[in-house]
Amino acid sequence: MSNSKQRHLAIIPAFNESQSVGNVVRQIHEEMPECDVVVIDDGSVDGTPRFVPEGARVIILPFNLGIGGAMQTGYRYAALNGYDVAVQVDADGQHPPTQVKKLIDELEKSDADMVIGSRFKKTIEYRQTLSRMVGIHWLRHFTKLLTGLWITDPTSGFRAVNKNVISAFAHWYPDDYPEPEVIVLLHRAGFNITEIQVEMNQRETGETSIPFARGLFYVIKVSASLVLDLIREPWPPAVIKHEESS
Amino acid sequence: MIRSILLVVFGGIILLKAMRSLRAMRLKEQYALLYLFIGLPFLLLGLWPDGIVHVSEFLNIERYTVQVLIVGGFLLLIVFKLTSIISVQDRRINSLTQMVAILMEKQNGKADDGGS
Repeated sequence: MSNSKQRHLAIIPAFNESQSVGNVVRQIHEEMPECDVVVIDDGSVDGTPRFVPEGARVIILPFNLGIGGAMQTGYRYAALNGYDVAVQVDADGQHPPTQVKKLIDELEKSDADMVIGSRFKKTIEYRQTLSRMVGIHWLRHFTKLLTGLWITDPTSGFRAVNKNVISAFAHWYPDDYPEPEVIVLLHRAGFNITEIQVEMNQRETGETSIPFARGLFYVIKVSASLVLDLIREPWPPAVIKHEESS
Repeated sequence: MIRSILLVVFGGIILLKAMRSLRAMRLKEQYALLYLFIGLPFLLLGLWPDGIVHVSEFLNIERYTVQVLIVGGFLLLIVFKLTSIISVQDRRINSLTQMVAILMEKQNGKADDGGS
């Protein structure tokens, strides 16, 4: 069960998601009234901030920083305001609010520093294109090779992290392929990562950030980035705290 | 003769461009110096084409084409240096952008609270 003393923040990065962001925020408020919501408008040109309901904070980036830059903004905000748990929720409606609570509960009852919401942990009912399925399958095995961790959904952006990881992400967060890269980097830094099965909706609106035609190129570039992550030391020891969050 | 003119023109353009950009504050001094060091050898070789022969003899390089490789390596080092600078600047700009956006949100929040 959620610890009521803990402060939770849902971070919603949004780029041209005017049609869905309102519903996502409203659903989180209804499902988890105690959870604060911050929408990071990543330089949208469709007026996305205007569609964010009252009660949610909106941080408007003056230009598009990409998913990595938008998420880091959210983590900086969480660190500056002393949040204990931060959950990344997509603005396109893929991540149901009921599942947000499930992620937070798992984070608080386990010793994990990051909990990933997986579409494939127990079932593979989630509809995928063939190229995407092959790409995820490859990344699953490649991540296992590099870290020894079996993460069934390494590209899932549906994740909850604790205060220690918030602090690390506020300091540095990968720009290019944050979801798979974060797994390798956190594992190397000694953080615990776990995964639970969640239900995800198909996208309500908008387009995926990784178009079909670029799937193969994406996988090659991600794989190369993951290898480079074995060399990088993004977080100085002073930033990495493994003690229990108070 | 044509080769000399081309080298003088090329070196001159690089120097001129660097100086104009420096005056207009569009180029930092350290990069202007960089282009000065790149442009000057072209000017010198244009004015004194036999210089390359003397340089080759001085460095014990038999084939002039090897010098082209050396120049290529030098240019690669410059590109590496510039991409390193861009990477650092990019990270700083991102950080600044994020902090400004967070501060603006905080400011707007205060204004809303004061207004309500």
